[in-house]
Amino acid sequence: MVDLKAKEPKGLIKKLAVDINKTSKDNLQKAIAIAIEAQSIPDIVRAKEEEKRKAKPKEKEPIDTVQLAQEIKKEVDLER
Amino acid sequence: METFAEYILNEKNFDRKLAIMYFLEKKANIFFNKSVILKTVLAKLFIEMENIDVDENLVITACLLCACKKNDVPQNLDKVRSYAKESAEYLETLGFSEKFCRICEQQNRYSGSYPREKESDILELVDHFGGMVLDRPERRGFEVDEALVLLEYRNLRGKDNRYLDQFVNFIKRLEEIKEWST
Repeated sequence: MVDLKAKEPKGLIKKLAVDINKTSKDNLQKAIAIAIEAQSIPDIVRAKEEEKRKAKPKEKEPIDTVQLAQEIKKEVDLER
Repeated sequence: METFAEYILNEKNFDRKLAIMYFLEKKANIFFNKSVILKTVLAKLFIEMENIDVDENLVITACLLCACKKNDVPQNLDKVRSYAKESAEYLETLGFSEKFCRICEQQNRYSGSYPREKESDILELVDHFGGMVLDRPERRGFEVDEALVLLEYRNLRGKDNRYLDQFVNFIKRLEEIKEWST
């Protein structure tokens, strides 16, 4: 059966809750296996946060407002 | 010969601690289900990732055992109000210390035990939040953001839980990381 809710990635907490929710009441071993797997979450978070930090665009250089004014002034004068 | 309390507290490996609980549930018919497992994982991650100054092994063990006298019938309000105290009394018979039992009793506020232990505040947070995000027979689990709002503005409103803000930020931090469900 296609799980319609699985079409989008979920936040780590939601994913954990959904995965544990899916386990059967009579099969605690499956929920235990998910809990054991969840021990890797701190590493996942650290890696993704580092990735995000690296991918963050560098701060734009400050606008040279004098140059901007001169350029626009030139354009405006040409329009006249 | 070690008591059950010494046995589970001396077992620091998380996987084996869960295995002990699995067999305890079968042998002693205690309450241990997937909600306990989720709440314990949340407590473990919170302590580790936020560097909370508590004995992690003790809190994890308390989280696994603090609802051991709960039952699966949420409609039984008397039981809802009394299970924390009953669990603490039972745990004392298994050899747990007075402090450990007090931490377990204070997982909720029904018994009025005061002053509250800091470890109990963690149990309280994961109990409320973990309970809300999981499905129940009468309702689906709440979305994470809904559960956080309910935690802050309904369940723990006016209650002095020293880790509430930190816990909310911790959950939000983890929710920002997206993964595919299995």
